[in-house]
This record gives sequence, structure tokens and C-alpha cells, in this order.
Amino acid sequence: MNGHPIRDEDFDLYALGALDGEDLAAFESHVATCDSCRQKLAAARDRIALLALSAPSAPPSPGVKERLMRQLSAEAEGREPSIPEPAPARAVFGANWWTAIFAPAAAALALATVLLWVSNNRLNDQIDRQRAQLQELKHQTDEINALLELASARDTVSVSLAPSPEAHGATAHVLYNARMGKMFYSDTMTTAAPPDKSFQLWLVPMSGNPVSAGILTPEPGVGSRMMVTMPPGMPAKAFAVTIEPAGGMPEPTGPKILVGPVT
Amino acid sequence: MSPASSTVQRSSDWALIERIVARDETALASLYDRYSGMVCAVLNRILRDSAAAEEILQDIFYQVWRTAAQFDPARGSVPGWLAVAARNRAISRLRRKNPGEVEELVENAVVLPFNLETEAAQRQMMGKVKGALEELPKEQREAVELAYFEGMTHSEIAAHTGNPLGTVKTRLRSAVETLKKKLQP
Repeated sequence: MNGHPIRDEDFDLYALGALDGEDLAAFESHVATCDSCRQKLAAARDRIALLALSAPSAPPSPGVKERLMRQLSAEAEGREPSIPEPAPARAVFGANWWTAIFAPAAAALALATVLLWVSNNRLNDQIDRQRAQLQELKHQTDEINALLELASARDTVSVSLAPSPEAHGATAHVLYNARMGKMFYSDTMTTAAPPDKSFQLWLVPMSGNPVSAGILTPEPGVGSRMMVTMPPGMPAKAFAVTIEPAGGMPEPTGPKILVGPVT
Repeated sequence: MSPASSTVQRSSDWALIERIVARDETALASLYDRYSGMVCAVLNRILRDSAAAEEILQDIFYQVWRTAAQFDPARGSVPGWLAVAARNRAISRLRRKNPGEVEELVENAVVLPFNLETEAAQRQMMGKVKGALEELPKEQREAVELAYFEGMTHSEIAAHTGNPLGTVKTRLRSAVETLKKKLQP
């Protein structure tokens, strides 16, 4: 006892919450009227509060602070501050937790995946189309450059091919450079070759047999255009287009529909 | 504890409280960073349910935000208030009781007689308190922990452990006497 009907330890026991029954009633009754004991009780509370520090460390998840700050922001914006969001039942590790956290996330992820997949496919299609267009442009550019180079060369010959009646009035023109081994052919044929037949272009050299320069594939309304690479150093005597079996022949066998000698 | 360290701690914590009163959200964030670990540890130890602990943790700091103007530096320290609030709320949750806010502000006003402003200081003090508890005889430590973390009275501890009430009272008296000496500032 300390001169009061209370033991010194009672202050700490009261602060600890251990007193009950008659002990508790007697303690509270006395402290209510005793200033010095109230001071001792305050000191005991300070001591007992330190026991909080014996709890094993358990840092909160970052989400708590985020929710708290959202709560403050909602209040600042005049919205009804939400009751602290009950944290998902993490301790339970049950379906609720998974459902609450991962189901929306999984759904969002799945949706994002689908959207990304669709978007990716569209992008791939666009890229493929643009790549093809770019390739075509490059091809055309290369042809134009080659044609310019061919046309501007001093040793390039220009030959107009005269049509036979089977050519239905079409005309054709050849630019050829033996040194470069390059030939550019163009015509105005608007009809395709007869069934099971092909139009075949020939270079007739100064000596030797005609050499195939390729199969023509006229576009309706446009005609044929093609840049042909030939063995270099083969001077031409003439150019001709014949009708051959589909796919062409090693040597000309069919009627000539376009012929033009190099002059 | 030296008076200087107490003054430093109080001025810093109370400076944050003053900014919170002025509706500075960053001040509450700083106070949260400083003490949320300690508060959450108490809540988890009592509730053994991290979801419930985090719910109360958020609510405690939100109460600080709403009632900061009513804090009285002359009556208690911020970490002291937080520690007691955490313990009381967690035990109330266990026992399905709801303490009133005004009542809490008065009852929870305690002054932790050490500087807990920094994480290092908190770790040091945790070591000191844990050490003091571990030095107690096992039965005494168990009785203290049942009272503090489970909110049990003498009679409830006796019923829980199966020990005679008188034995429980004696153990607790010895324990608090020892702790009083060990935890002197």
C-alpha cells in the first residue's frame, strides 16, 4: 500500500486491463477522488503503452496508405469520404480474396490481352500492307532508276516493233543496252494470249539463235511492261514477240506478232 | 529519456499535427510513414487478421486527420495515443465493442517516455521492451501477454490458463513490478 487503499502495482494492472470485480471497483472509486493516484495512473499508462512495441513487426501493405490518402482526397473534394475500405480478407487466403483482387485484375488482363491481340493483328496487317507497298514502290523506283539509266546511256538502242495482224494493232517498244545487259520492253497489247498459249519475247542476236527474254503478261487496258536482264555483251539484230505454247519455248516456234529490227 | 529527446520528439510530431490541423495531407502521410508499422504490428498481434488490422489502421489515421485539432500536447504523445488506440480498438473488435471517439481521445492520452520519432529509435525501443518481457518467467510473461494483447482480466486469465486466480494475480503483480524497473526511462 502507498497510504491509499491501492497497491503500487494496481496502477499498472489497471492500465493493463487486468483488474476486475471488486478490485476494479475499489480502484476506480479511489482514483476518481485522488489527484496523486490519477498522476500515478497516468505514469502507469505510459509504461504499459510501451508493451505495444513488443508486437512482432508486421508492416502494412502499401494499399492501406493509398486508400487513406484517397479518403482524404475524397473529403477535400467534398465527396462523401468512404468508410475505410475493408481490406480484402488476406488472412483467410480464401476465394474471396482471390475474387476481390485477382478476378477483376484477371478480367482486365484478359480484356487487355484480347485488345492487344486484335490491335497487334491490325498493326501487323498494316505493317504487312505497308511493307508490300514499300517493296512495290522500291521495285518501281528501281525500275525507274534502271530505265533512266538505260535510256540515258549513249549505247542504248531504241527499237519499235511492228505488229502483225494477230497483234490486233498493238505496238511495242524496246530499249536495249548490250553492254549493260538490260532491256526494257513495253507494248500496248490489251488482250491476253489465246488459251494454252503465251506471248514470248525474243532477242535475236547478231549471231546465233534467238534468246528468250521472257513471257509477256499483258494487263487488260494497259499492256505489258518489263525490265529484263540479259547476258551482257550480246548485240541485238532484232526483237520479236511470238505466240508459243503456254509457258514458252526454248526457241521460237510460233507466229511472230511483233517484230522490230535494230537499225 | 532525456528531457531534450522528449522535447525533440514532441516538437516534431506535434509540428506534423499542426500541419494536419491545417489540412496538410503530406503531414498525415509523414505521420503514417513514421508510426504505421508500430500500429499495424499491435493490431496484427491482437487480431491475427491482417485484413482487419489494416482496416483499423486506416481508420485510426483517418481519425487523426479528423480530430487532430483536439490533440493536446500537454496530455500525451502521438505514438502513445496511436499505440493505445490500436490496442483498444483491436481488443474492442475482438470483443465486438465500439469505443467512442471522445472517450478514446481522453483515455488514450499517454506519453511514451522515449523518443520514437525515427525508425532506429523504434527498433531500439522494441528491443528493450521485448528483452524486458523475455526476461520474465514464462508464466509471468504469458499472463502479461494475455492481459495486454488478448484484453483478459485476472479472472479471464485464470479461466483461460486453468491456474488459480490468486496465482494469476501474484504473477501479474510480480511481472508489472519487474517491467516497471526495466522500462524506466
